[in-house]
Amino acid sequence: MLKFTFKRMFSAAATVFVLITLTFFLLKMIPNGLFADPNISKEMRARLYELYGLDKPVWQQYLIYMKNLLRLDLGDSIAYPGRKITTMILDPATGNGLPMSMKLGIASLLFSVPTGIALGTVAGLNRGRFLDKLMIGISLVGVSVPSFVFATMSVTVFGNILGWLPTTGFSTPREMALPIFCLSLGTIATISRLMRTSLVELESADFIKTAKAKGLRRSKIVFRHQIRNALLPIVTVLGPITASLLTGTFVVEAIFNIKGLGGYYVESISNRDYGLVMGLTVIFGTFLVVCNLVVDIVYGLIDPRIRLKQ
Amino acid sequence: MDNDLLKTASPIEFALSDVPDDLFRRASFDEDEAEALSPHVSYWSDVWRRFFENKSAVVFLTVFIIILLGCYIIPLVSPLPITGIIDDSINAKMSSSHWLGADKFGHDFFTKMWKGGQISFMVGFVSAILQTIIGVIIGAVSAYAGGRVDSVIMSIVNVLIAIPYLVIVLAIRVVAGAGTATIIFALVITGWLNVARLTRGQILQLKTEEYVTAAKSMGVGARTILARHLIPNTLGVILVAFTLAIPQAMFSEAFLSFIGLGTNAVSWGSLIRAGMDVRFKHPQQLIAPSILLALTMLCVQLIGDTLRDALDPKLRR
Repeated sequence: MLKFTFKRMFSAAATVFVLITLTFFLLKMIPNGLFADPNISKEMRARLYELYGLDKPVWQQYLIYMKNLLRLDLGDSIAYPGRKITTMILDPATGNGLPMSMKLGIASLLFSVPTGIALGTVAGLNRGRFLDKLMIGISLVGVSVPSFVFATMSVTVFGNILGWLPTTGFSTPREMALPIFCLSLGTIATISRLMRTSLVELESADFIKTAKAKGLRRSKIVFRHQIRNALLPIVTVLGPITASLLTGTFVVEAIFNIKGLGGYYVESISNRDYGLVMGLTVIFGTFLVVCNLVVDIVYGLIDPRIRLKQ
Repeated sequence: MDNDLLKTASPIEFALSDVPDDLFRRASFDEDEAEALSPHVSYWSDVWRRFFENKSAVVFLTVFIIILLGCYIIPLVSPLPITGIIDDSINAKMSSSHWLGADKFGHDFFTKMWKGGQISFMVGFVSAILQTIIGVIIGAVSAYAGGRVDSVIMSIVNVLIAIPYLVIVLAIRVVAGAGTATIIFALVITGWLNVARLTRGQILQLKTEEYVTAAKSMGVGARTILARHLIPNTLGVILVAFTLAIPQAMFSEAFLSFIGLGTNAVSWGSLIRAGMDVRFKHPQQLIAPSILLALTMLCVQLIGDTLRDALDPKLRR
């Protein structure tokens, strides 16, 4: 297990390193250069380049960036002069940025994973019946309809037309309801579909047949054997689900005017604030890679076949 | 076992030879029935049959084709211009000439909505085709070469695949600027990894399958094994990956356009975004493109799912 964990950690570290390096040099390739505004005078541009350390050769800039990164210093923003990117992303004063996005993401996971498992179980145990068909239909729609279509529709219907829930902000429980709901639909659909399939597949597994042959009660077979084993594949999709929640938070933050990282990301790309883009890429990338790492290790812990295969 | 059978069978046979021939009756042999019992069905015709046996898949395929044709035909035949600024019809209400009203540029929304689908389909198909081709080539080379080449290619793929695709797409978007080509490029760059891993896994696995070993031991040449066994069996998985890459790419394009980082051209994502701003005055301009996009995604997803089931030899009857 220890070997498996180390192997995974090494691979994750390599991924983060490649990601940072790749993005760094990618952003250096920008065709019209930084501060391309013709209104900036030559002297001014030279001073700006010096200020941001852009007058040095690229490899030196890279080393400096990596050195600063080890101290968790992501450099200065270009669009917001004088502001540190690290404080912009973390912003302990207002709680905006990363903490806000994490709050949204974690709340959505806590809501959608149990809901998805419950709905998938109901469908899987009633295979072929009305409830199952209904669930398949709903989850197919949930998987196919883009998150932003669903979010725009529900904010219009529940927020604007019916006026049941507020359409902006994310601090009170009432404000949190609609964003979490919009963000969770896709996840619920994915998880319930997977849960259903894995329950149905287990129906014909040898150990279930054995349990039946032993004359075990159905409730005991279902709870002790079927559901517990059906949960295994759910763990594997938690990694990709976290990644897709990221796209979801972009949309939900934009629609509900929540000051998370998504807004910064979009803004920094439109502003061509490369420092901020770089910083956000590093943060997001590392975060998701670590999530995947945790999922991998947890999966290795609960399913010995995985770590033995490596 | 065989010996036992012989022992028990021989006395019977002995007894049978004593029975005179005229007591035997010839068993009737119905040729039509014999044909019906063992029709020869090739793998692909079976896949075809099983796909079209699924009624909902056929319905969704039809809907998909109608939408696809609509996106390319309606903007061609529509008499209403959707470029420049048309003062007469700015924010026009729904009417017999403007079925879904007009937007802030005075463009007929019905025409524009169908035009918007062209980008979706183009991004979806072009990036899915390119990433499949690249992925299959690299995956197959990796699996065939084996050894060091394989381990180098696969460790690169494994490191890259863990990078969240959105992060890369956005970084490329910053460098290359807005445009359809940028989106396709970014999607191909991130998408081929999956196909490569899939193809390699398939070919590695199939190489050791019993039927391949059986074919080899019967003296079947490598080319025939490839053409008759490996390729058809890999093709199914690749085809499924291809069909599932299409909605993924279409979604990415719509998503990027929605958050304002997509193409400059008219697309469903940007129309839905614009529809958000006028959703109280012209709700149809939010609802119509949303339904069209959602319906298309649903169709592609369902076609992909059905195809996957139809291609699965385990489900073959």
